Amino acid sequence: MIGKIGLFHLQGRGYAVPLGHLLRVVDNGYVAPLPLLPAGVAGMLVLENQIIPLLDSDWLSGVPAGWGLRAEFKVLVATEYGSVALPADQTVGIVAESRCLQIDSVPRAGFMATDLGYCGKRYQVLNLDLFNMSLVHP
Amino acid sequence: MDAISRRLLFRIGIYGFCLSLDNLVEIREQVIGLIDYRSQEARSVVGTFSFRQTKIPVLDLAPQLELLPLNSGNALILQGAEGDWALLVDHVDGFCAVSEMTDLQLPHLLQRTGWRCFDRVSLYCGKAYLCLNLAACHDGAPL
Repeated sequence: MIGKIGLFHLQGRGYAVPLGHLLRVVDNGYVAPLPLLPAGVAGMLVLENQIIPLLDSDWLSGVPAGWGLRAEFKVLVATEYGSVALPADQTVGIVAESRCLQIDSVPRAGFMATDLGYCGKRYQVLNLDLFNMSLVHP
Repeated sequence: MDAISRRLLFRIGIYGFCLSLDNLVEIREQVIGLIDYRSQEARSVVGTFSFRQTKIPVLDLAPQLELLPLNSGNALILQGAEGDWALLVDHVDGFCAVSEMTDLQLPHLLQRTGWRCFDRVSLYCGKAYLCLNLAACHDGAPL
């Protein structure tokens, strides 16, 4: 079976999530304010009687905090700790991994282990389980 | 006819809250000028207020919600274990039937240990309201 990944952009940077984790993409959506949020969470996305934590942009390498609430799209992904929403200002689509180039990546702390190239652009592949573990166990 | 369970909807800063009417004694407007700010006994208690010939504690949750202290002057008078107390609020939105609200637990990633004056979220007309936990408002100390 061909492995597939979902690609999106935030603030000009490319990110990728494995299709197995990708639930859906929401255009805008209602993000309600919540006081005393844990670090790294921008708000709560309310979607069809579900509350989904919207992560802030500073968890994505190279993007400063504060873009979580401003992003037009929310990429919903499944993790070991439940669904979370990632901010995105452009979605690219789903592509076969075999159509992407493996790029030698500099090891980074946290959840981003590999980089892929697609249509001349670099995408950082998010390891979502590690990502959420860093929130729960900072 | 059975009485319909209702909740009060109100705002503190940017946050919407809801509260069962069971503990609500009265809603008062324009209380700011009536508060004696000298007696601050505990966290969140900003002073006292004379209500029906009795001095009752006045709580302002805004600083603990990382908001500026409230100055809109509205107060909910609530029944506590040891008497009435007042909670400052910005605006009272109205009432709604409990059956019209959908209660949701906060997901694990949004839960936080330590002080928290709400324990779940209710949806009403597409908006989220935090369900006020009265016991947590004053650190568990009886009021």
